[in-house]
Amino acid sequence: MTLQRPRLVLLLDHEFRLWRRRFSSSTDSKRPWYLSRFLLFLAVFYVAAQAGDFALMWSTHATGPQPTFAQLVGVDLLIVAFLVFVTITELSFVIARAYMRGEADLLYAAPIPPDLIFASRLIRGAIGAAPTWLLLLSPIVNGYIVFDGFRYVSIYVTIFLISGLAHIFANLLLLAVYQGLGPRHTKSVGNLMAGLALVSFIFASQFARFPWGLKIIARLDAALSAYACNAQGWPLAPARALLGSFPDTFAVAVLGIGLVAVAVPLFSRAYERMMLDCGQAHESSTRRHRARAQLPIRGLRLTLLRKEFAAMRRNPTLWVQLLSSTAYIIPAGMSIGRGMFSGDHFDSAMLAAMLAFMSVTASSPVMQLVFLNEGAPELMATAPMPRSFDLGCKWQISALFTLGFLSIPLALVTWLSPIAGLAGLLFCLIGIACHAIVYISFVDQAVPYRNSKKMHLPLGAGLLTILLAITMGALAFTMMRHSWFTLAPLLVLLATFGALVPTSKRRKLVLSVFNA
Amino acid sequence: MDAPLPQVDALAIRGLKKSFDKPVVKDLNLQVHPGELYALLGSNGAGKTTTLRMVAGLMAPDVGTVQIFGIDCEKHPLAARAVTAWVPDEPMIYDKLTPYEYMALIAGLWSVKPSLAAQRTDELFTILGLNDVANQRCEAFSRGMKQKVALAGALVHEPRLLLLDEPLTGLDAAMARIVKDLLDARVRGGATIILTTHILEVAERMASRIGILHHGELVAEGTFSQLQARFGGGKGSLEDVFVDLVTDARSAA
Ligand SMILES: Nc1ncnc2c1ncn2[C@@H]1O[C@H](COP(=O)(O)OP(=O)(O)OP(=O)(O)O)[C@@H](O)[C@H]1O
Ligand SMILES: [Mg+2]
Repeated sequence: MTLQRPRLVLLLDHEFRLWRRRFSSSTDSKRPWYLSRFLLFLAVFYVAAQAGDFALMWSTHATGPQPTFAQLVGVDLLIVAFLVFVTITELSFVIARAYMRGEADLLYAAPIPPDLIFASRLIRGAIGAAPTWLLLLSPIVNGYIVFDGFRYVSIYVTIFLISGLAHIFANLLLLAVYQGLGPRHTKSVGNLMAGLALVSFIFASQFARFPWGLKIIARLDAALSAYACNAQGWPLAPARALLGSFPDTFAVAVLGIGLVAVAVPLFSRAYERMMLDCGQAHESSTRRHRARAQLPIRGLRLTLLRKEFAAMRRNPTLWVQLLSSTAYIIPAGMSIGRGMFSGDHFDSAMLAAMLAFMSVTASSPVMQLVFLNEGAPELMATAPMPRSFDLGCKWQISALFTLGFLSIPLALVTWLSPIAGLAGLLFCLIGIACHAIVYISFVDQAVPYRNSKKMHLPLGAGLLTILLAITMGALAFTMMRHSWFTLAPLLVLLATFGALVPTSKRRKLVLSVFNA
Repeated sequence: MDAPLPQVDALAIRGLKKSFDKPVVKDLNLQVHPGELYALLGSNGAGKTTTLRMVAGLMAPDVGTVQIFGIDCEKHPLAARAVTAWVPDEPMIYDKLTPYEYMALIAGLWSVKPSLAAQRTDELFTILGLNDVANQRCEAFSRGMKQKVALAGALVHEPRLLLLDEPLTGLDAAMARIVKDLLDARVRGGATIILTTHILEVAERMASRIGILHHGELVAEGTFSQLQARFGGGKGSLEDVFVDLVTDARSAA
């Protein structure tokens, strides 16, 4: 007998290998500086965030008042929001995996109990969810550890556990949607749920700021220890765990393991059906997609515009993404408005810059669809018309569509403060323009074209980087001025950035931006 | 092979039905004997892929039973899968894995000993001309190369029943010849193969028996010469027989 690995170990090893290689492609390994620039960006970002956080902690540490009841509720909200937020980001991941064409055919044709497949997915997902959040929140946790004591290290464990739990919830949530609606609607409804949850999260985090003024929790450690004393009962165990209580951390861990142990035998059959069904459903939708890209092309602007609109209209995911992108604009606009009323113009300007960055994320789904529609670049490149004409149309339609969507939040902002509205509009235009330039050069790279202008890419990337820097500055600034809830936009921003990474097209785009 | 089994069919399908929006497979009965190469033909949307996916245990039939070497697929799915391999028409190969890693994964899933798997992988890669790319990730592979990797994966655990959905599409003429020889060798070695194809010349030359599916029903079955005798007036190619049958069935419907 030769030694054979148990099949659960085999599956786990497989899942983690895919996970490790998610960010690298064989072309990258030939040109490793792509990746190193990316890592450099992350490092710079991290150091900036840590510095901002230490500054904040240092300035508020000595003077913190005793926490009020409202602040305790705030901590509670924050924890719930965190769980919800991680669950919805995980939901998108689970959806993407379920609709990965043909993978289920491969795994479920093997003589492996479906329990093992489900278990390996849950374990990998639960572990894989954590690093992003650990990285994201570590500047804050480091602040606790430095200023308030080493026992707060246990928060790392809790973040790990909460994101794992969130992943399991996301799986169960998608299963429930699938059971109710079947493979055709699971994707759009799941995405819609994620979008709506994101919107409510952002609203909740913003409204939480209003009644209690800007400095909700000036001195967090005092608030947290008071909270830890006051928060009794098992439903609050995750909250206490997040505040550094070891027994509660242990309880959450047991809960997570118990959940996996119960969910696997109960739901592995349903999971198998869902994966097999959704894997096939995706196939038919890509077929429709391809057929759509093969519309006859006449050299008419109107035809092109109509084609792009038709493609967008039929894409539910796009609408969901737009909806959630719009949600970012509203808190930014509210902050601008408040800044204007309180006479804090610098604050408002910074937030307007943030708005611009949001417009980049808002235009992202439109541009993806317009510029990178499957097979469309090749098709258009072979059509008998000038390249610039086609790209011009795409540019205009993306701008129109994005602005149309942003018009409601922009109107809200303008109503609060005309200057902020104007600044917001300006920044949005800049954001969309930068973004379009990057996309155009991406298309040019994808389809070697006679008169492609390679300088698009450095230009667009440069502008985007400046925008990003302004946004980061605005965030650091508002973090120091306001409360911990200002971290909500930061989370959103970073989640957006995270969302840029998974699909290969976006990843290449991001990498090329930082390579410029 | 193992101790001789009583003459049990490699595949026995009884009263199989499946509907989506409309009935796709209607009361299908099909027997494939051990050591046969059975070609399942039919026009687009006839229900070939659906039938094979039900056999592979990836889709539950509405009614009917499927037995693989006497093993009931519904009652003992893992035992049935252990002796079966399924290659879909557009197989999924992980972009991030190399062909070697892919083979190791498949071998592990079917519990093939690693040393044996390595030896078989080398043999298959040599035959299929995959040695040069065996350590490159599959993301840049052409459709035909992916098809070859998937086929190698299906053969590495030496299944007794091979289900191949359009295995020759995307392969160049020389490679198609190599694959055909490979499949022939497997059949001579005792394996049973069921394949669907739109290349009728392949079915004509390779298949021991041919079944023609039309709107989810088996409208004709037999060896090529039997089909020729019954439907082609004793002459003509399989193409003539096929086109006649399908148009007949269409006008009769
Ligand atoms: N998951 C599904 N949901 C709904 N309908 C389906 C599904 N899978 C297949 N069908 C339908 O069943 C019918 C038969 O499909 P099937 O894929 O079995 O045909 P086929 O014989 O393999 O055709 P081809 O030669 O084109 O591969 C088609 O009309 C198809 O639209
Ligand atoms: Mg088919």
